[in-house]
Amino acid sequence: MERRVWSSEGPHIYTHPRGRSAANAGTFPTQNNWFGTVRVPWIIRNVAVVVPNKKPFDTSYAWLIVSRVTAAVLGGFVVTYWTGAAVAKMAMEWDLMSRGNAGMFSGFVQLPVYVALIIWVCATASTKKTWLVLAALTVLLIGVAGFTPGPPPTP
Amino acid sequence: MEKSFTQRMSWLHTWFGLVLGWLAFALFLTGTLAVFWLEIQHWAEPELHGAKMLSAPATVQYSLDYLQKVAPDSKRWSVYMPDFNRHPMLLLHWLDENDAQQFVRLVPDGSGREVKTVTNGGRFFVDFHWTFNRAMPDLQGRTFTWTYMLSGFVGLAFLIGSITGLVIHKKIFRNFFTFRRDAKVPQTRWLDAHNVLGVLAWPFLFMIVLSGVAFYCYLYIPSGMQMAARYPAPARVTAPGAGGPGMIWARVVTDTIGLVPGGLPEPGSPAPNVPVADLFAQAQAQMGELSGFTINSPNRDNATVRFTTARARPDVITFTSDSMTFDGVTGRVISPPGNTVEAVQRLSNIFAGIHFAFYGGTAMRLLYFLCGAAGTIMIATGLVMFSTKRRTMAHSPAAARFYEFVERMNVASVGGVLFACASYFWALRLLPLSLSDPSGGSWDVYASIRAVPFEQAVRTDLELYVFWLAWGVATVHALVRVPQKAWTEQLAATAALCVGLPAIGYLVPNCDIGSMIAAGDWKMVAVDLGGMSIGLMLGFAAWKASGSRVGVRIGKLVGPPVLSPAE
Repeated sequence: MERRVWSSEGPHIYTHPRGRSAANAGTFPTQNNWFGTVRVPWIIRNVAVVVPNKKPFDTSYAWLIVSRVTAAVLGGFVVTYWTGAAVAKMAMEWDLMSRGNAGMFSGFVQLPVYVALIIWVCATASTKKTWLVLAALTVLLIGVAGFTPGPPPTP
Repeated sequence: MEKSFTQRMSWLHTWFGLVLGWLAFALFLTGTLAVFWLEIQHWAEPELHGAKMLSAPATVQYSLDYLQKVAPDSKRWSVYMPDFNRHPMLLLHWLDENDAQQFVRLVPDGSGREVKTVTNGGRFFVDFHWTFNRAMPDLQGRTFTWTYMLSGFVGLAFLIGSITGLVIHKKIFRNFFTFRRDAKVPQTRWLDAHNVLGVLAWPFLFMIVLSGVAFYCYLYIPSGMQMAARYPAPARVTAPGAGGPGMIWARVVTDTIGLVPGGLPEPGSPAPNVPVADLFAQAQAQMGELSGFTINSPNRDNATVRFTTARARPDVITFTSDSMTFDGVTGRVISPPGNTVEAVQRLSNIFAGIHFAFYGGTAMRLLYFLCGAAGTIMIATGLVMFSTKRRTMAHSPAAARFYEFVERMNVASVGGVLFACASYFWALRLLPLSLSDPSGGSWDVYASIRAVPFEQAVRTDLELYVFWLAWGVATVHALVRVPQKAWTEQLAATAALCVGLPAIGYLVPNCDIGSMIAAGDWKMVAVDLGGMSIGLMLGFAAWKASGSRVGVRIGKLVGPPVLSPAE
């Protein structure tokens, strides 16, 4: 019984003992393999066995993950940071609430924004698209927070 | 990346859950224990055990008599009322003859006994689960607690994990009723346990993490606050009679002790004052439960008395704060209650009230505790499931090493934190009371580690050292031992420590469970018995993990697998 698995660990093949008879089963190398010896945890009765994957490591996949995680965590943080500034500024400029409440309200907005951004970045198929959208949002929010009429200059 | 949306959500759930799950377990465990932090605080202060408390009016009179005796000419007296149901400690403040702040902590039984034990107590769990006990000075010398941002990110990751968990477990109701205890593949059992606990406690977990993160969100990414601070501040209204040092939830704020506060009242002429106990009753009738009061210029013709309500009360979910001020000579109301709170602040107060669980009494806290425990176990099962699922599927040497590292880290984070918490309880009970800071206070508002020479360390420092040292030892143990053995040994050690909690009470005066049952001090007894019950459960877990029940010796190879390679 052979299964080809495509998962986050990359492509690999493993063999499961069920369905195999002892007669046509070979001996799995317990020595001189990557593990030295195969240690089988006691709670496992049906032993799934590792088979060395001879394919070279796919670096493009690793970069994809790094890019995606960076976009989600750091890119999301930058957008969230400027969201807070923009929301507080708008709340103050439009005289919607007091100073302390504006700051606190911006925090309430930031939380769902950051959560949504991380989930969205990881859910979107195209990494390039996520970076573009994050960059556009950042520019827009910096514009709102930094270049619209704001507080009087401090003396 | 994975092909489908569900697969991508599963990837996010798995890897965010793993990387931050190690910390999330520690935060959830300590947060769960923190539900009963005031009871633990009481447990850690032997002077309070079994004392016959005065009633609230009698406590007011007792406080005034005490202050009259020690500081009759003071310009300010402050009284922080005890929480009779959870942590009955009375805190009194006054200004001495040099107008410097002084304080004393008393047992509210009318005997004049002081509470000499200075301990982090249960407050440690509250502070750990959002600061990791770490206050780090930045380059400018200011205290920048980066660890609270880390804990906030862990909370955020947990929120994401709970949302993506819903997405990937499409058959949520089916999952709720599925626990294949006899499943042959262990991964299935761990998965079912993870799902059942996750689905069962999902509403609570989402609510508690959301309220915790939302409450402090403006601190985690403070750009909004920074922007708002650039606008001019409104005129500040100072309430008459305000001021004085305080106590933040059972931890005495000692950074102002010995200092002279500003805004002191004018020295008036001696004059008879109205009985404060009558004003107390009047204020309580109007505002509900009171947390304390401050008297400016006591026994003078310009005396004022300001009463404040408890921020967190058992009868209201949301945090509240209100006050009213009387003229101390005539008894006339100077400033009536009626604190108005804006909508955003009210929302923040609701989040705080939900998160801190002061409402609803012991039954509600017990529910919080059980749901928190379910969440804690759910995180642990998720971590174990990760390595159970993958340890036989490593596709490269690097992956194999990584999965082995994960397995060891699981032991260090789950077993290690449990062991450290149990060790901390032993430290609370066994560290000599004479090591308490002689000034009677703590060094910081929050329980944070200080790097001081060992001979200068006081009891509160040593308590934290014991916790972190125990965790460090457990981590080293997990890294050098075979994971299965490490699991068993750490769980067994923790179980032994927990089961032994009532026993070590007999080594310290006024802490034995027998006399506490006789005295009717059920708070103290409940902590002892609760610890023992948890110890028994952990002992059962250690026995299950030991492998003895399946007849396999730990660490022994279960025969060479006879299989054919796929290639």
